[in-house]
Amino acid sequence: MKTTLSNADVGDCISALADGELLDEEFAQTLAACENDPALQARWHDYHLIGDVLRSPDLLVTRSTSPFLMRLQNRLAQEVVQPVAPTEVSLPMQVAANDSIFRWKMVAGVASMAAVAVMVWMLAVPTALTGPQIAQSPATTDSMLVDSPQGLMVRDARLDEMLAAHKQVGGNSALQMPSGFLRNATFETSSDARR
Amino acid sequence: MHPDKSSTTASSGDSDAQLVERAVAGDQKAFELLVIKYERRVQRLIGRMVRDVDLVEDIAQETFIRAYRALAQFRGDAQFYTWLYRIAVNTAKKFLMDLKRNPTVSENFFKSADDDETSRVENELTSPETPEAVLASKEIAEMVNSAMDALPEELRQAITLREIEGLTYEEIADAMNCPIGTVRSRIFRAREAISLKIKPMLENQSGKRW
Repeated sequence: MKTTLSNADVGDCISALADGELLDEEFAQTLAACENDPALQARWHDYHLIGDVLRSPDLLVTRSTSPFLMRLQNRLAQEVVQPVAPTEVSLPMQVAANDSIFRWKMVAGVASMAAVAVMVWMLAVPTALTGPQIAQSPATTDSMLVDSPQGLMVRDARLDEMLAAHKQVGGNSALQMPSGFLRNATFETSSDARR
Repeated sequence: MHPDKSSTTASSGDSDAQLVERAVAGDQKAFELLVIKYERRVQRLIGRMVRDVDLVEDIAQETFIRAYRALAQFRGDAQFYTWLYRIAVNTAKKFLMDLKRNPTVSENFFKSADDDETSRVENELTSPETPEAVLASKEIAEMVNSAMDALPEELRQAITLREIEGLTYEEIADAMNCPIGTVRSRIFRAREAISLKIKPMLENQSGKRW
C-alpha cells in the first residue's frame, strides 16, 4: 500500500472524500495532505461550491473562505477542548429521492415473502396437505361470494382451511377477516345489485 | 434549472461523520474542512436574519466556535448540518435579542453564556450581498452550468447522478454500467474541469484566495 499520495491521486481522493467514499488509509492520508496545503483546501472548497451551485443556483457565493477561515483558526487556537477518544459517529442515512417508492416495494416484497413462508409452513405441517398432494389435488372450484361488512368477498375453501389450521397466523377465525397480508378478493357491487 | 437539493446526501453525511469523529478526537483540521464546506450555507442562513453584513460573518464565526466546543456532545442522531443549522439560528436569534436590549451589544454577545433562549425574535429578511457580489455569484453559477454543458457526456452524467440525484458511487456504477473506480475518476475529472473554469472568477472576486 502506498504510504503517501501523489499529486495525481490527492485530487481524486479529495473528490472521493467530498462524496463520503473514502475510507481507512486513504482517508487518513488525504486528511493529512489537506492539513498543510492551502491549495488542496481550495480544491475542497471549489468541489463543494460546484455541488452547491448545481443543487441550488441561488446559493450565492459569499466572499472568499480564506479570510474567514484564518480568523476562525486564530479563535480555535485559543479554544481548549479535551479530545474524546474516537467512537463511531454514525449519521442517519439521508432519505433518497426514490425512498418512498423503494419502501412500497419493500413492503410488497416482505408481504409476498411472508405469504410464501406461510404457504411453505402449511406444507410442512403434517396435518396439512403435503406439497405433492397439493400439487396433485385438483383445483377446487368451490369458491363462493360471501357478504361481509367489508363487502362481497370471494371465499375459497382451501384458503379457509389454511386459515383455520393456522389461526395464530391468520389472527381471526376463517369466517372473519383474514390477516392483512393475505389478499381478499372483493367485488365492489353497486348498491342496486345488492338489493 | 436544476431541482433544489439543499440537503446533504447520504454519502456526504458519511463524510461529515468521518470528519466529526476526527475533530472530536482532536484533529482541528478535520473541523476546518467542515467549516469550509458549510461556511456558505451558514452565512446565507444568518444573512436572512441579520441585516449587517459584517455581523453576519461575526455570527457565523461564533456559530462555528460554539459548534466546535459542543462537538463532543453531538450524538450523531441527526445530520451534522441540521445540528449546525440549529446552532446558527440560535446564535443569530440571541444576537438579535441582545441587540434590542442594547444596541452596542456585540462585545457582550460574544462573551455571554452559551444558553440559547427560545423567546421569539423578530426576524429581519435581509439582503447582505452587495450588487457586485450578487452579480459575481450569478456569473459563477452561469460558468458552472456552462462548464457542465461542455463536459463529455459520461463525465456530465456521472457528476449529475452524484451531485443532483445523490446516488452513491456504487449506484452510479450500476446505472452507468461501469466499475466504481471509473465512476470515481469521472466525477473527479468533471469537478476538475469545472474548477478550472471558475477558478479565475473566484480569484478575481476575492483577490488572492489562499
